[in-house]
Amino acid sequence: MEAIKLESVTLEYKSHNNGIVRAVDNVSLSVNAGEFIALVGHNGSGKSTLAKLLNGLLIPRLGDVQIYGVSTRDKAKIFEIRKNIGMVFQNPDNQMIASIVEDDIAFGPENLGIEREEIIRRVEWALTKVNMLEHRKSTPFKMSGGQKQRLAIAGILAVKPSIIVFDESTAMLDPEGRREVLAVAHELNKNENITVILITHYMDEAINADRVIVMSRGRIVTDGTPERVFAQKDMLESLHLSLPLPTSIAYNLSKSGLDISENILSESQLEEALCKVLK
Amino acid sequence: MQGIEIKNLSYTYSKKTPYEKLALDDVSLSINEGDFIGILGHTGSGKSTLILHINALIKAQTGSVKVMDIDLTQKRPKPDLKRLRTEVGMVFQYPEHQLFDDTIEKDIGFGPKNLKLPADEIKQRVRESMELVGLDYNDFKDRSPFDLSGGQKRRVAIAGVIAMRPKILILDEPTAGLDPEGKEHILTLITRLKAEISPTVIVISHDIDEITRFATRLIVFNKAKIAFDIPMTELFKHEKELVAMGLEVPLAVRVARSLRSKGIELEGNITTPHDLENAVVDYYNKKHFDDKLNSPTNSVSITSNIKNNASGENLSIAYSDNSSATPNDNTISEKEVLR
Repeated sequence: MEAIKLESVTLEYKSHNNGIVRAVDNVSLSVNAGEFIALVGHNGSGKSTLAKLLNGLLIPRLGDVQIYGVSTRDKAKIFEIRKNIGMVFQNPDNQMIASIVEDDIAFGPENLGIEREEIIRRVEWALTKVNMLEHRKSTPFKMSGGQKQRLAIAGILAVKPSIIVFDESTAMLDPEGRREVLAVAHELNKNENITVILITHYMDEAINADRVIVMSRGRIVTDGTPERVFAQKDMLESLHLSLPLPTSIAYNLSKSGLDISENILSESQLEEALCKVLK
Repeated sequence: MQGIEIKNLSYTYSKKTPYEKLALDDVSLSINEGDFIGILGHTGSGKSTLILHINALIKAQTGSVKVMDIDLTQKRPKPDLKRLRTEVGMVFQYPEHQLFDDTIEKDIGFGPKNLKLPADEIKQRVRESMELVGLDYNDFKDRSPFDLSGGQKRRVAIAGVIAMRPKILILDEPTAGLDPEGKEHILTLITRLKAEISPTVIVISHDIDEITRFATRLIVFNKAKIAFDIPMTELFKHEKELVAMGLEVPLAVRVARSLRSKGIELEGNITTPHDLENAVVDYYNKKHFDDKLNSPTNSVSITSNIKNNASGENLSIAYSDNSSATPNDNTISEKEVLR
């Protein structure tokens, strides 16, 4: 089933000297329900604009964005879309509104007019999903970045979306926080069948996605499995994007003449390949 | 003295309240002029509290802090904090949040202006600082710093700090939140600033793979104390401690350890991906050479030239063998073509 559909979407911004920057340039894209997609590209490539187009925070100038067949231009249905597609942003501090964890998580469903018993159930379920249930009565302000970000995710889960967009949600976190958030994203994708769009700068976070989409200058440059995308080293380099570290080591070794596959993404694959070639 | 001398420094936040937290516990440390230091540690391990002391943004509760010839803990006469803050340049986390003026030139010139330098000197410093961080003076000076990309904003903020010409430069998470290209810019910039402006550089980072690329000395904080303080090349010896503290171990160190545990004895100190690549190529060639030794060609010395793409340099490895089984004068030089 098609969860997200973009048809020739174009959107421009005004730049500082009244010029026009085409942030998203004639992009067409289709995402099936249950997919885990990593969206990568350098700053200004249009990936965050694309994210904001998905839930109708921005409306395209040309083309159409549809979430489960509903266009974001349809003002009467915009709340239905926003219920369906949750966003987790970069800075966790900007996403907390209440001083007690469970109040914060309940904010979304409360606004939807859901009855109290159901809200309590959802808060508990959402906090369990992100491993934060024990903190339900605490205050978010003294928590680590990773914990806050998981609360932000729980707040979104409580609205029961079928799609979650992570817009560089790991960029401000330390390695531990990054791991926590990433694990939650994969868990939700696998066990709750939530469609995930993970926007990131860290190539290492993209290796476990079903699909990697690379954007540059508002266009989709390539779209495929991680193996296929990260095999295109020269293309990625020309876009100033790095390879995942294990891939880059394998690539350099292969250039030095070692018989090592270039299709290496993870650390364990690298180890295995090195063992084979050195044994 | 041009460095920093810290002795028995302890610091407790919110003393005598239920939120009391020991942030530094009897820390002693000396930093020499010319050091390139990476500081690693968990959130709350004390690393930020330490650098706040170096700039006298918090006062030592017990112990002493001396920066160059300024004794920050001396009572009378009071330490010259104005001079201290000229000598020590501090780039905080997300320094772009501190941009405030309406043009880039004014923003960068703010510090020098407060030093009451003559106008042409200020202009000169702004121009130089902008060129250093890679922003063309004429193109950018009249633009608003708020119209720039994240990476550019950060470079403007750093230019504002280096316009003071600090002898010691401290950067807290300088690449956080930047894309790979922005990160590269900042890392290259830091190395350049060390060479041209500030001989002593201290960088706090969460990213161990990033720290290993530039710093030559590594200080790891854990639970308000210095867990270890080592030359970067000895990092691999401390893998277990890093893991125990829940800190990241560089990928190259992990892979090298795993290969060694499987009997593949890679040689040398492996910290960076580059070290790993070289060690793997060396090992591969050596094994190849050993195979040759056992073969009837009886080659004793093989010079293999491997184009090493990681460094872009030619790496020449010469193996000489003293085995008595082969005559010494029978030296064959051959260009190894691998694969």
